[in-house]
Amino acid sequence: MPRSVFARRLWSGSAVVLASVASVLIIRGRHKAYASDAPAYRQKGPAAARVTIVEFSDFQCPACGYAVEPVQRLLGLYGQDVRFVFKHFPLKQHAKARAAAAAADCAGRQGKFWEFHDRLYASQADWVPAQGKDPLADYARDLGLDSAAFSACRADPATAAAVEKDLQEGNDRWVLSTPTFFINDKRFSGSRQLTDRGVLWIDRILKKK
Amino acid sequence: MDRPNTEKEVIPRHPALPWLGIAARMLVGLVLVMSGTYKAAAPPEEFALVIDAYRMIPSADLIQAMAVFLPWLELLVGFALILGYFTRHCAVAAAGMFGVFITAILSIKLRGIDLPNCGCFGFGFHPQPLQTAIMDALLFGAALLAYRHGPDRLSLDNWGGSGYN
Repeated sequence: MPRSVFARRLWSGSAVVLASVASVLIIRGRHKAYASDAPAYRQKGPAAARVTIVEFSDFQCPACGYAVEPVQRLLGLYGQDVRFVFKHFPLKQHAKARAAAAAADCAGRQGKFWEFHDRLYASQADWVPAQGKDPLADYARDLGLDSAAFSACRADPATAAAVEKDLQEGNDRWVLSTPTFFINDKRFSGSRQLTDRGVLWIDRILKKK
Repeated sequence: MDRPNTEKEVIPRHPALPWLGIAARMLVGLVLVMSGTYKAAAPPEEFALVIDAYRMIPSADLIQAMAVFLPWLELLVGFALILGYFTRHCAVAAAGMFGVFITAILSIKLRGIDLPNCGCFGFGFHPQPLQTAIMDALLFGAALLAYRHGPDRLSLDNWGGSGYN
């Protein structure tokens, strides 16, 4: 037992620090493995690009809609140095986000993922509040997709399972909000972090190699 | 001639008061530990996003630094209060934090900013701004009570040599 006041204070302080670190480590848990893969139709840029940006996004989330333009600007700026991967992360509070994610994947299987993606974000104010109608089927028709194949794909449990897989990966990566970006595995939450700090991070990566 | 009574009159304390002080210390400590642990364990970029939403800090680097530093401050002060280490200093620090939180919440209400979440109690619990301000005010009061009560027989300060009163 430490006898001096100083030694006791030191032991007490150590107990406080130890309890703090232990509680964080317990909550943080073990690091889970994940891969930055996605169907080819949800990727842009060369596979061998030096920078990979992975976005976890929710079609019903307004902040994700605001992020479309900065992302496009970034991809235009860095061209062939960047590969972009889109992942679904439909939030619980967004009732139509899962259906929209599945529909976008179905459009992707017919080669129109990005067109559908842009339409969903541009028309959030129309399809999100729509009741008793199916605007997503209308968008598919507008884009010239095969309606029967599109409907069959939306009803296919494998489509929902693919969305679920992305969601699980997001949870494993501790994604808590959308949009969340990972640039070569470094996290940027929201489009402001992407444009403020993400650009600097990309420049650093490109300078290194 | 009788000598005047110079001794102070001691007002007897209610027997429940010391326990109330301990309860206040534990309550404030537990809240800080719960909110600090989750935020410190989560990626700091998530908390940085919340701090940014308050639109009070102009520098992105400072926001990022605060997102790393603040949860650990909450956590350390929380555990120090629970264990009764530098009890009075930590009670003042806790009251100061709750004062800052109340000011920040009221300022976003006044400026009409709509927060996705207040980031106050960790990411699992998102009360409305007014509820948050009320909870923070109650915790501010509890922190002051913990300060007034000071170290007690259950605190490390007692073992550490400062004694308790």
